[in-house]
Amino acid sequence: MECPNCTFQNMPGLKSCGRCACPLDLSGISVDPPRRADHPIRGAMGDIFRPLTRRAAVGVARVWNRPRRSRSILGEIDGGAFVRTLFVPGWGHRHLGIVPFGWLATGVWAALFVIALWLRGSFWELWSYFALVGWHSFIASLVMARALRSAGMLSRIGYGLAVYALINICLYLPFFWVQARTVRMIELNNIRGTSEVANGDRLLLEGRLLLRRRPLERGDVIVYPLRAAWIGYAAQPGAHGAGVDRILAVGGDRFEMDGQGLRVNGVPIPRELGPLGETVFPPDVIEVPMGSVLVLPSTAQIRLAGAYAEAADYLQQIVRASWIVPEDQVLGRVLYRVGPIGRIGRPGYLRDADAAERGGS
Amino acid sequence: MSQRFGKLEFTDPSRQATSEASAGPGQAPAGRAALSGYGSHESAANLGEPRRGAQWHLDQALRLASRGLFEPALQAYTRTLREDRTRLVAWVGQVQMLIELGEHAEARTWADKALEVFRGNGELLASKAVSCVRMGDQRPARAASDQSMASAGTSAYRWVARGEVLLAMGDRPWRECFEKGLAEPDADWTHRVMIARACQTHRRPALACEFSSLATRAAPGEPFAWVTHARSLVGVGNDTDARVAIRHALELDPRYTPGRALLSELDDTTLGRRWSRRLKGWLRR
Repeated sequence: MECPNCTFQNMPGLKSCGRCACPLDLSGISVDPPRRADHPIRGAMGDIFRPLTRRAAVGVARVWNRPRRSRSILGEIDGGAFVRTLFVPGWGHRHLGIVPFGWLATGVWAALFVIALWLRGSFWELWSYFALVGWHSFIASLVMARALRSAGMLSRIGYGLAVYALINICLYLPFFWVQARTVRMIELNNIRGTSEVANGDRLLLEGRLLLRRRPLERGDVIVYPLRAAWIGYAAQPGAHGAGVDRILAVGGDRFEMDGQGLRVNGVPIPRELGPLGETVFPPDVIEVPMGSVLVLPSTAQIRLAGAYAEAADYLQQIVRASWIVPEDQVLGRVLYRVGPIGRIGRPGYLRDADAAERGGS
Repeated sequence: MSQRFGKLEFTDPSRQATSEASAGPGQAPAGRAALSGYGSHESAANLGEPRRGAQWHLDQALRLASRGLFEPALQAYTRTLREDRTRLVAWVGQVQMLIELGEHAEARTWADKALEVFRGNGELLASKAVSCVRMGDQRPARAASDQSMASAGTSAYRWVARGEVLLAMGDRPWRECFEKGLAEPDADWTHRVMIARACQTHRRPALACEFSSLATRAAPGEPFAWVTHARSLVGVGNDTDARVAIRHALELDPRYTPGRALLSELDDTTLGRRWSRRLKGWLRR
């Protein structure tokens, strides 16, 4: 008798195969397979509820029966695609062959990136930053999604947060740290507007790292911190605690201000190189210390409250506290006005300064 | 349970005679095709023939399965086993048909029962692995697939089942398994269709498109390959090309039931559903 399973030739009369123990007499075995319709409840109810419950049941079964700690999730992530996605969202998808979505992801990311750069220094800075990093993390997590499909919910959340932190710490925070110190934007708020600078203007600044390459000079327009701590509770400095004005004197200069005008080292300052706003400060003479520059906070809103409003000497103290700005605390040199749309261009005060320099030379 | 298939057959000679008599000369009796369970136009040529042997039923079953008519194919496999219970191909075929009909729990039960007879058989283990993985039971599926690969011999189906298990589990080498399966000597276009259907089940329509288009290239005269390709195209939201593929299938066989069903399904789809499917398909590419 030949075994139907292993084709071993058994002796007649045996009930099971001598090699594989398979039953040799199959005559009593039913050959009708079980069917779903045969089940009285599952058959009838299944037709109604199957479409609804099948996915849920399969999902629950997958979660319940998922292999635990049987394999490394990190090993399943396509490293090439993931690294590409870390640099440019969507690149990884294109690497995986998901081309249209890859381009969409890259396009959205590029748009968010430009918007985030554009909104730097404004109220929407933080929101645009979160949108940018959120989109990048989302796309990166999509690359991991397949590997994480069988992972638990806590693992997924953990990996998602890890990716978010990785992208934040390794990419965007360093990038924006460097960007804030090379070329940055600032939006003017709460200043005393002039024809050159007005509330709502967005200025492109040369940051601190670039300032080291070209030292500050007389006539440069800078953004500097208004020293609120020195001014004290009596004064309300401009928003963001920064002012914008022109450098009148640099370290080692002698600055004089009296009823006849402004002089540096005894030479009158021409109007084109003077303060951006009107000067209403009391007469004074200042020796500018080395490593500092002098500005008149002519565009800053300085208001004195209560009894201090009448104290002229106190006002002088306050103003003097803000005049001298250490060079390492200068926030940036103004390069360009990039907003609002109608005022895009090189500000007039820069043209005036250039004209004065050309005239002087 | 055994009575159900009995009801479908003409064991009663008087009933068979009545049925045949109702048809004109050279014409198939009206109720025979439907009652025989072999599909509407599949068995019209077999009228009046004597009781067939196991091989004949097996050939019918294989032919029906390759046309995507799974219910009649299952019945044909059962008839094969009634004639000869040692036909391993029929046991495997039964489990495969149950899987294709979406009766995974039953397929698993039946695979276990068949494995009691054919212990350690690689094909049965592979089909058990597929039924397990489609139920979401990944660990037993992996175990069954491992046993299937470890058992003696090799076949395209084992590799395909292995690939499906890995695909469902998100393991990377599934593509290698599919490719190995297609490189086996016994691989043909039906295995490409099988892979495409597995990909559809596991919601990978773009991948399904890849393999179904391979199947249509390998067997351009098979309507089942075209319908499978059409279903894959529907999965990625490409209804236009899907209609072209169905039309091709219906040109090959105008009465091909799965093709007509899919076409009417497409026609009945509402605009919102069509767009949501298109969006989903686009995201899954």
